[in-house]
Amino acid sequence: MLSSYVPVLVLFLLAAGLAALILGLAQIMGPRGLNAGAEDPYESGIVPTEPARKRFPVRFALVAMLFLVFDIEAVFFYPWAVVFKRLGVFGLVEMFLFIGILLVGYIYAYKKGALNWE
Amino acid sequence: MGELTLGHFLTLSALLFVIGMLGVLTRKNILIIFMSIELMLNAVNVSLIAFGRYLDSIAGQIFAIFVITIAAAEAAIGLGLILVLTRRQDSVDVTSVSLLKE
Amino acid sequence: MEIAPPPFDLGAIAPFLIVAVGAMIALLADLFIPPARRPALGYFALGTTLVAIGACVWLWGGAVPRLAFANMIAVDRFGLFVTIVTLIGAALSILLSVDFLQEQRLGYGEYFPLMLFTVSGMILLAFANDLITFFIALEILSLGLYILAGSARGRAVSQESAIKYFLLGSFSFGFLVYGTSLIYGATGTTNFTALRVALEGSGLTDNPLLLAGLALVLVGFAFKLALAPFHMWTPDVYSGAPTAVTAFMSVGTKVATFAALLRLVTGALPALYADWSNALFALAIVTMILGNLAAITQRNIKRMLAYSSIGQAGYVLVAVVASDTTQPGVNDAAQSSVLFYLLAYTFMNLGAFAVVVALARPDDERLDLDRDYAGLARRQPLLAAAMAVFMLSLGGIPLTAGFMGKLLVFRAAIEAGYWPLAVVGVLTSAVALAFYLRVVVRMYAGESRHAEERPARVPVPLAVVLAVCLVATIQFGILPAIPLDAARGALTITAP
Repeated sequence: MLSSYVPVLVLFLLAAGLAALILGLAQIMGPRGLNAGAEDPYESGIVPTEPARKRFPVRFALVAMLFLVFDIEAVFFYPWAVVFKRLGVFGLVEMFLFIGILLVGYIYAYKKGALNWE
Repeated sequence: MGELTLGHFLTLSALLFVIGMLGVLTRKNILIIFMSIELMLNAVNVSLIAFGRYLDSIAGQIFAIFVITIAAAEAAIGLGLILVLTRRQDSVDVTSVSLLKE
Repeated sequence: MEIAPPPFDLGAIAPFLIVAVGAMIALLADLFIPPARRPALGYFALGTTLVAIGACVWLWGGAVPRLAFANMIAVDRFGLFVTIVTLIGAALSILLSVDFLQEQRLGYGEYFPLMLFTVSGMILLAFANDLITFFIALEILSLGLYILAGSARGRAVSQESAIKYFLLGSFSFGFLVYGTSLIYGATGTTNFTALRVALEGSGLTDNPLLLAGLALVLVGFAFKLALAPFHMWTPDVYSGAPTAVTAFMSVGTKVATFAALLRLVTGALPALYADWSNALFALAIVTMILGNLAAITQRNIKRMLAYSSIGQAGYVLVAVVASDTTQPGVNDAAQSSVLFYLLAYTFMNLGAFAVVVALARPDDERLDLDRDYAGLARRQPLLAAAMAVFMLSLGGIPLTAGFMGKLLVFRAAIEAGYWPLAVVGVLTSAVALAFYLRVVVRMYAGESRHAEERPARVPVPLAVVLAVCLVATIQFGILPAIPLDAARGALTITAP
């Protein structure tokens, strides 16, 4: 019974070993002393080029929204794919109808320039 | 360790739902209110999946899939509305908008 | 093993398909036609709704009731009646919008496609015979309306209205879905027909999960229908949204959602009559009192109409409470009065909003009752007369559709033994006359502030809307036989 936990133990050891290795390497090879970056709370030692609290371009939000809408179709694809063979031609036609409706949305987004980064 | 029963899942779901509900009622930041609503919908998903499992009925999962889809559509529209609103106000800081207060 | 797909009965959902496909065509056409020709889309949308009404009439004459798509859709005369009312409301709202959008420089954007998508949701809602179809339909309807409410992108009030509507709408949707999940958990089914069978003569009716589910679903409905005390969002949303959108949502949403409520409680949960009728009884009384009292103090016509629509919803709810399926005669009277009231309400409320739209100027929407409506009869006698008819009808003065509606509703309530509802209804109607008549008095007795300016030109589509609403309001008040017979013929909520 306990033997089945051996892989877990190995995983723990590997993880701990890797963490120790990285910390050790950083200790040996990292730069010493104080520079501008070391004082900052969490910038992983890299000197920030500009304040982080600036406005993000609206495009990011737009892409996020489009991603959300077109990503969620996968929720329907997955169960469909599982029983695809058993659904036969009917399932195929249905899915094409579904994709066709999505395509209308895609064409709309494309023509409106929502996918254009510039 | 006792077995996980339907009651455990329903309790979890009810707790999540109440947390979401309180979030909507007490927070003023639109984004957080919005996230609380999403939490409420996901609490419903927990109960749907649990019911589906314990009743041995597939309808629960189908139900949950549609709830997820609708939550996504709602999220897209909500983000769009918030975006237009913040553009007007020339600020991304939605905490300055306390629209729900009359 | 092959999975046998359920029979594919596209004819049964023809009205829905027509509107949904029309919406997609309009969405694509929107991309390819120059902005100047956008009004053409409005007429395309109008045509789509008329074709859909034709499809409803065709289905009405055909083999009904019929169940389609594994019983998830029930096509019966009840649903068809409601669909026709919704489509009429939508067609009139589209006519209302064509010139309004141009005049107010709101831009067309995706207005008409969104309107069609919303209507498709309303149609699906009227036919939904399964908790899953029901909540998808409700959300199609709501999502479109959230965007429509914010369609005046340049106006802060419109944005505020959209955000408020969105947040409270999704909040209530959470309750509704949680409630449906509990009902599903208690009974093991999502289908309305199966629900009724499962609950009949079973020990399930005391199941706490089921009752909690019912309570949550009713809270969700109360939010969507703006029933007091869940109505707080309504005045803000109604007054902030563009007037044409307000007109559409005050009518279509109410009609379709009331239909869904009636189908759910009487079609699926008649076994819980004692529980839901008590809850709705309380809601109806609070709604009638709060809606009508709050309307008295309003100076903004849109806010007043918002509170008025809350009060009107209370009257419809009275008839819903009386829908006890164990007493067929009582139930028939109650349900036909719901349908008749919704039809009458569609015409009189849209008519009132049409007058508000007609008075709006590009720089000023002219919403103040004291400033803009005083002395209207002298400047614009026809518009004032039309507004007077709609106000009297909403107030329930005899010879109008509103009076017949109230009469039928209160009679149904008394027959079912709910005389307190009828008493409160009559009393609040008397109170309501105060603010409806005040508009009429202002128009005919007040001194006009805009006496020197030229009267607003009423565009042809708007004139058509006003004429249709006027004729219907008066005709249904004097000769209610035709709509009433149709409503009585529409009583079979599918129960095979």
